[in-house]
Amino acid sequence: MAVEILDTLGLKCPQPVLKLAVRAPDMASGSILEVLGDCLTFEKDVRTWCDRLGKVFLSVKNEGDNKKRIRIQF
Amino acid sequence: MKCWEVFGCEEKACPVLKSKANNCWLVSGTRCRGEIQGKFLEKMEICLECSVFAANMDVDSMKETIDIVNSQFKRYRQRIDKRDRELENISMDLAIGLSESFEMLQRLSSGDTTARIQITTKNELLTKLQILLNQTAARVEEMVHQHHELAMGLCEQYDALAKIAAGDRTVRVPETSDNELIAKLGMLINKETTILTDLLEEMESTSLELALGLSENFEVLQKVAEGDLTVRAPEKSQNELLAKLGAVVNQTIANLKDSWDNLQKSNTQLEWELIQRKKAERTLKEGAEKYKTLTENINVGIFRNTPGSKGHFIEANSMMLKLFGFDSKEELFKNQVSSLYQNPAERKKFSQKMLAEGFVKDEELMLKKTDGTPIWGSVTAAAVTDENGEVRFYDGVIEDITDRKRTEERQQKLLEELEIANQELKDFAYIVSHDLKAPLRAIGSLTDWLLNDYEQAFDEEGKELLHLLTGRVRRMNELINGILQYSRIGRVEEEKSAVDLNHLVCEVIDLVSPPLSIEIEIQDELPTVMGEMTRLEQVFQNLISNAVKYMDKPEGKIKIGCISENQDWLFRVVDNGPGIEKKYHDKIFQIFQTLAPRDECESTGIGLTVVKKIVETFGGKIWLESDVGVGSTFYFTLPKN
Repeated sequence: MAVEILDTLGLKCPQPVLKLAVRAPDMASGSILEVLGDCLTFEKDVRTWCDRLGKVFLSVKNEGDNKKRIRIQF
Repeated sequence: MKCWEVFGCEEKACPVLKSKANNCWLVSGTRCRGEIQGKFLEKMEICLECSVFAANMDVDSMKETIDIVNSQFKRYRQRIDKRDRELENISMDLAIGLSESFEMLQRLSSGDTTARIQITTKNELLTKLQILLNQTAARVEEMVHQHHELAMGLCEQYDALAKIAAGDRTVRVPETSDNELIAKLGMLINKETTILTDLLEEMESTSLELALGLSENFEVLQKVAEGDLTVRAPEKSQNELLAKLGAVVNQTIANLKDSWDNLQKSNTQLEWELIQRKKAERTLKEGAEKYKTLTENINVGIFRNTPGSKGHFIEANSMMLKLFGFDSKEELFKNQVSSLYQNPAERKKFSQKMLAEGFVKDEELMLKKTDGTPIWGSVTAAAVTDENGEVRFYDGVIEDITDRKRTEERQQKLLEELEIANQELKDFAYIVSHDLKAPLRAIGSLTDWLLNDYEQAFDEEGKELLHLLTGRVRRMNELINGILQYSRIGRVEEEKSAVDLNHLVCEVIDLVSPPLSIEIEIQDELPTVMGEMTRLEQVFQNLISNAVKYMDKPEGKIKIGCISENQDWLFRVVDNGPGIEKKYHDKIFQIFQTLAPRDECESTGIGLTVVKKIVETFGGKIWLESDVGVGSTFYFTLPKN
């Protein structure tokens, strides 16, 4: 299954999670979404979002300059 | 130059004012010196620009002033040095504190809401600033936390609402949150979701019922659309709308049926009218064709002519040309109508009658052909008038009755001749009968005398011959009487009177005196008729006496009856005698015709001939029905009037 991408680079908290929330209903069960963000609280916010909404926080890759690539399974 | 003059000073205690010798404040003891010179450095600019100061500036004064200034500078330098050291300390403190504050603010602005300043400075202002910064950071942290909580709550609620929107009615949003608004919003959404779900379920249930009901109604309407008007929609339903719909559909079907019935009736009527119209059109067309053919082929002349003494034909068929001997219609149309009359005055009479009555029927006119040959025409015509009642023309037909008229003339002549011959015959029959009776009576008398006076002169055979002669004379007499009777019918007329046939028939029966073996029955009430009594008596007497005379049964039955039949009385005389064969049914009415041998039955053969003549003279007719061996029925009619 192809991994879908959500780019939130340049967006500040809480915009990345709000973007994520809007995208979530379109995701099929079991599919994977890769979210890119560079907000300081990006990782923390996405983790909280996953905990609260019952999604699986698969991985996080730090790409420097606060830029992170997080994978979520729905 | 005096200062007090320049400035207009009136301070009387001032030594300069008092002395009038000193120039200005530079003199000791003046208020100006006390207040201004002591602060020379501050006021120097004022003095340097003062015209009095400039005018009075001399070495001593300057020296004094410079001394004063120097001493002042010295004091000021000490104070400045002290201040510089203090300021250096404060600046360092401030620089460090501000640096810490800047760093903390930078972390905070980067999103690190946990950044705080460790307060170490003794600088009150800085301490207060850092406390304020820490408080602000704490509040920002709280705000960010609330912000996050709000965002997360919104995410959760959005997610739940998206699922609900996708059709999952079991989903509910979390009702617990640090953020009261989000918690309340969650509760509100759940409450509304529950209401909406219930509503949705109710709507679904209603929709299902509606769908089923509509489906039933649709099926009914589909059948109606296919032409079945006997179907009915269900009118009972929990759903009021469906129940009403059913009623409306049924009412519509009923109305439709009425309309359909009416339409069919109209249709039938229209079809019938259409057929009739087509038939009428066909008939009209055929009629027109027939008319055309008929008018051209018909053996009567058809015309249209204008009225008045100078009237002429404007329409005519071929027969008209033939009738009057014209070669073309144009020729006929040139002639005045009156020119075709043998007597033109008759044309005037004809026109007057047409004007008076509007039509003539079978008017027989003496006309003539164009070459003058006389012809007879039977004219039937009608006047055609305009809206004002004025006669526009006459339409009519002329039948050539020349041949008929000639035949009639011939017939009339023949009739007259026949009448004369008949009369002569009647007279002859009477005269002959009458004249024959005298010698016959003489023969009879002579025979009687011979038998009475010369009885002994004859032997038995001679006597027998004389008896035979007497019988033949009697028979001859009866024959002559019969001929006389017959000739009298129609020649000798008796006065007519009302004759009660019940009474008359009874008298006839008495006269006939039938034997006991024959029963005569009058079955119906007989009418009273107008007529000659003697003739009527002859009719019944002949018929009844014949029935009695020829009766061959040991128990004879004769029945007499009468019924009313239209304009006539129908009489019958029925017997159970020997019957008459069919081939004699006409013959028996001829004169002198008898069926039984003369030695069996004495008959002149005149009776039924007389009866027939009487009945026919009265305007009736006579006939019989008979079965050989069973009997005969004689019928005759008499007109009621």
